[in-house]
Amino acid sequence: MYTRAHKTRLNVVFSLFIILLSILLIRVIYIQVAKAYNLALLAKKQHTAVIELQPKRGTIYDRNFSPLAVSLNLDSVFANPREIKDKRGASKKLAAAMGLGEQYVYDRVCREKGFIWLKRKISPAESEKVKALKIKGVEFVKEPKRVYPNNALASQIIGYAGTDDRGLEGLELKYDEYLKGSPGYRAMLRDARRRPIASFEYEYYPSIDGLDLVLTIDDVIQHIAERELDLAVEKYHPIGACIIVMDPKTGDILAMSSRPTFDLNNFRTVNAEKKRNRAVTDMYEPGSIFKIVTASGALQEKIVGLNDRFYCENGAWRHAGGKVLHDHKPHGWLTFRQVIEKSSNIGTVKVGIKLGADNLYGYIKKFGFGDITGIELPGEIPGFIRPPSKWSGTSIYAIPMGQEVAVSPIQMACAMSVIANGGKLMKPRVIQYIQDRHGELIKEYPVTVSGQVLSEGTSATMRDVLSGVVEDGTGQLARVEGYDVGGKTGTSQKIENGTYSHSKFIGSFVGFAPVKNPKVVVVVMLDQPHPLYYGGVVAAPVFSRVVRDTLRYMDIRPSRAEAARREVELDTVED
Amino acid sequence: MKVYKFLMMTASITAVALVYVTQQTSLIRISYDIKAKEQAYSELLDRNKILLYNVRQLESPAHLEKTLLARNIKMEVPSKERLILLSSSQDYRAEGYGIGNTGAAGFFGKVRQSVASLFALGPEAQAKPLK
Repeated sequence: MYTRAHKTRLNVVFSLFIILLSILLIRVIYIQVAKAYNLALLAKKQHTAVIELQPKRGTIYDRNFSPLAVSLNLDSVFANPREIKDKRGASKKLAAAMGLGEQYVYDRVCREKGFIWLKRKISPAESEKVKALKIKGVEFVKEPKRVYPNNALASQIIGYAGTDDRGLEGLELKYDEYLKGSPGYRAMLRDARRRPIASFEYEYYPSIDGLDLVLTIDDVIQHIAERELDLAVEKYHPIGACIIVMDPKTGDILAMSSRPTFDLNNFRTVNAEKKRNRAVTDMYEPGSIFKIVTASGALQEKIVGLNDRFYCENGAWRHAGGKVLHDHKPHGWLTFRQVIEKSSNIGTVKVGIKLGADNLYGYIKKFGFGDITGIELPGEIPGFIRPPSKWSGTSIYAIPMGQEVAVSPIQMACAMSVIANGGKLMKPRVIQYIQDRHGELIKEYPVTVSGQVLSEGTSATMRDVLSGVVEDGTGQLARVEGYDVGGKTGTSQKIENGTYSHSKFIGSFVGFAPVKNPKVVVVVMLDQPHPLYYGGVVAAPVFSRVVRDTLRYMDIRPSRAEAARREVELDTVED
Repeated sequence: MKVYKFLMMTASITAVALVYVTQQTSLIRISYDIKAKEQAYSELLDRNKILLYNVRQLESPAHLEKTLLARNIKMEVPSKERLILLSSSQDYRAEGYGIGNTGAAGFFGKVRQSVASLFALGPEAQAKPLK
């Protein structure tokens, strides 16, 4: 029976439902209108997986496509400490597998965090060991690592990239824009376990891999040069040394190295001194090797002939500047050829005076001194040469024999190339071209002739004169069995407290081979070698061995039958 | 009749819905498979790259020289008389040194050549003394 009490009860229940529905309706409106934007964003974030696609850093190759720098994807190990039950046991096993200290690992896995790195970019062998342990809470993630298969080879040229795969030194730094590539991303739905579902991909922006550099360096010649430089460093203990092997016809740098050096795979603990590429960043007074400029200029201007005679004052000459100029050995009358062969300072200065300050300066500039060569390496310095208007009264007695000027080893290599290639000044290059992953050419660095410095005839005459330096002059330790080679020795005094030091020298040799058709120009420089320091003694043998092995490697047949070995008296090669 | 129509429609809609769900489920399952295979492929590529890197390290001039020195293997440049130049058999025949000129003639020679040609994929390398 439907009574008043029933009606009241029904009304109460109905009202309660109405109130409840009203509350729900308000809540729905609040969620759907007021909170809609934020909640939609949150939902999108939860449903969407945005995967960043890392580009592969470009490879650096030598001229024969041997990789010098490559990027590998290596495992990095991280842990969720909350999931590791037996922390002490796990630490012991992990430490042994990754070559870490047990206490170090234990301290890390005891942290109150959900994520900690244990070791990043581990070797594949270490990775296998850790995976075999199957410890719950220990996970892996792939990270790119820059590695260098030849360790220290050409380290100052290549440079290195840091943990984030960005170039920090050398070509890695200078060409980072080309090498690094650009990242992309994929956006797709993901499931409750946060796994991306590839079939529900709605955005895809592919990463663009970095470009590859193809260098002019030949890893075999580079190895030969570095091996021989190391032997010289071991024997003569210089504070620094460098070597350049260059193709005189193209300006291609086949090898370039400095000492001290460092391992590219272990660059973090290395000081700046070892990272310096002395071949382009250092300048020094060249000494007698600079006489090639004076001699070439005088021959080109036809101011001297090969058989013109110069009086060399028996080794000591008080010149008009008031100072006494010495030769290392007393000489009387010498022909122009002998002046260069014996490396007479007095004779060369007299040639320089005949050439004149303006002409001499002109040839110094034509040979490329005082300007950067434009090689694609960071930190190149232009050297130092003053114009004749700023020369002192004694400059004309110093500059012809390589004093009062400062040059870099790469400039010396270019200058000798002028003589070796028929008179052309070549722009040195260390990069041939840049290509993409598929070998498509992106940018070319062409062979560039910067200017014609000497005539074919003058350069041929100079090659002949410089072969005499090796055959009969101060460069006899540079001889190479079976091959005709030419070159010039140099021993320069370093400046100490404003005066020329009598105990600190730079020994150098710059030469080419074979004489008739030069294939290589080699510069060797040793800074403060001891106990011996003459360029003809410390640097010329390095040249000899490098040229011997390089020409054999390049399959250049000996030009003459092997001559009977001649004993070389040490005092004949002092310079 | 009306009930029958209603049941038919319901069954059809259910069938279509089931097909759709199955399709979506398969799609997701295939996605997971693709993802797993991509992962495996990527791992293999990485592994291959690491192995190539190891090969390159072993082939580096410094490593080879160190190994040769450690094993006391002394190498020298050979004299001309000791050099053998490898050239393709085509060049070899062109110069008149072919097998046909040196005793492969006759019926058995021809049979041998025919059989050999079945297995030959390209020019054969042959050795001859350097002139």
